[in-house]
Amino acid sequence: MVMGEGAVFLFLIVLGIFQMHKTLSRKEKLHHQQKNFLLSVTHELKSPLASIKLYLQTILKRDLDAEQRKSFITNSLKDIERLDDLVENMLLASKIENRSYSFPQAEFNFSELLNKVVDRLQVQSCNSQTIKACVTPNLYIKGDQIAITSVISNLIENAIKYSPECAVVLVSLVEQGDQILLEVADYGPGIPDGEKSRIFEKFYRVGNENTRQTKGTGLGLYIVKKVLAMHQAEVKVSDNLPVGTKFEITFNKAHGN
Amino acid sequence: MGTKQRILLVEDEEHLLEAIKLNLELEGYKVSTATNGKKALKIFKEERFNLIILDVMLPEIDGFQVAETIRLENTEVPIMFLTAKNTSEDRVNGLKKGADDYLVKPFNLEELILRVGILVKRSMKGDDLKELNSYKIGDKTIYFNSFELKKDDGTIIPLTKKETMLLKLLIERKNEAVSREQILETVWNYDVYPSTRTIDNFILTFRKYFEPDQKNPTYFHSIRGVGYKFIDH
Repeated sequence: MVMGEGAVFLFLIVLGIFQMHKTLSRKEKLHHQQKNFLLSVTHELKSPLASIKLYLQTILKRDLDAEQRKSFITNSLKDIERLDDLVENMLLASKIENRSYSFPQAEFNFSELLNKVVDRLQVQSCNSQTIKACVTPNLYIKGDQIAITSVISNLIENAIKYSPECAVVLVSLVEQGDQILLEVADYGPGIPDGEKSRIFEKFYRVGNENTRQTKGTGLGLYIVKKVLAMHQAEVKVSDNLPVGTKFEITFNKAHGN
Repeated sequence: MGTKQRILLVEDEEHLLEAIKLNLELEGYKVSTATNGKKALKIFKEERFNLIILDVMLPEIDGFQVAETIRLENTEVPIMFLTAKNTSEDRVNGLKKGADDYLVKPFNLEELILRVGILVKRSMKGDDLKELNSYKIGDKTIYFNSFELKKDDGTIIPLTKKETMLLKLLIERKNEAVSREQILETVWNYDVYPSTRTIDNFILTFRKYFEPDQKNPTYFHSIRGVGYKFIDH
């Protein structure tokens, strides 16, 4: 009798310790990710600001020729776009977080939107064409066009970021019965299986922020997952063949199709 | 300024790297660049610099670690951190790693140029700043400005420009081994790479001029695997 009670008591203590440990380590992990987020946001915000400031001060101070001046201004504009993307992502993440924002649902031409995003990213990514897009025209979906734009941009920008220099990024949009399938694939290093389930977590990034090879905040894929969930769309990540990563997103067709 | 002062700029942001490099070059510095910590350490080992400008968040090896590694073998070269990390903890950490200055992004161009100027000047040490006009070895005096050697009896031996520069370099670093790298950089300015024998021939000529016994030199010594040393007690 005493032995039995003792065993139950011991079991409860062990269970308690186990639960406490689990909670603490979860908190520790979150704290670490938030610290990384602060570090990367600091870097991502200040670096373009620093170069824009330096470019403008150089134009004011130095007697540059017209071509050099133009190149400095073009680069500054690229930095401003980079800042704009980051601010957009942070705002979108906070909207998702607050739940105070309802995504407006309107029917729009998804094919056109995708082509627009591809065109914008194509110019910046490399001197040779890197995005190979195969888009079925006039496919419509229902949703928040601004949030979906952010989803597509995040996916394609990620693919470019992790691709070797000037490698091809594949983008395709096709109809499959009642659904529309968007695929974004790259020939980068790929994502280890163990990491695949974690990449959609907020702030999650692989490795140490101080010695990072690629830039980012760990918000992009979190936004992708959350926005898609609000659009009843599904996202799947798998290995691209022979190397790289492939993202597959399935949307429900709008009635306009 | 005779030879250009050299700066190693380590920054992984392409746009910033381009704009800083251009400004430093317009100020008259010779700039080498690296976009990650590993490359920075490699270049640092191959060349000699008057200043190292280091970002902290870098691919491969971070800037703090780069500074620490440099300090293990060189305590003289000034290091300036140029980084987005702006907390007082970061600054203290940077200075503890052996940095001489810490500038936070986004920075002012004028401020960067002024700080760079101060640090580079500091790297040139007192000796380099004082102009050395003449130096006496035994019964001969070298006149660096007129490129000649005057014996006490009044005989004048003309010196070539390179001979004068090499003599000046060795004498300014009296009792210190001067590496071939430093000689190449200062006297030949990396324009042409002379063979080891060229430097040896210069030393042989100096021995002819100054040594009482050329086979057992008292002034001009070869240090095997390093370079040369001028000794004068």
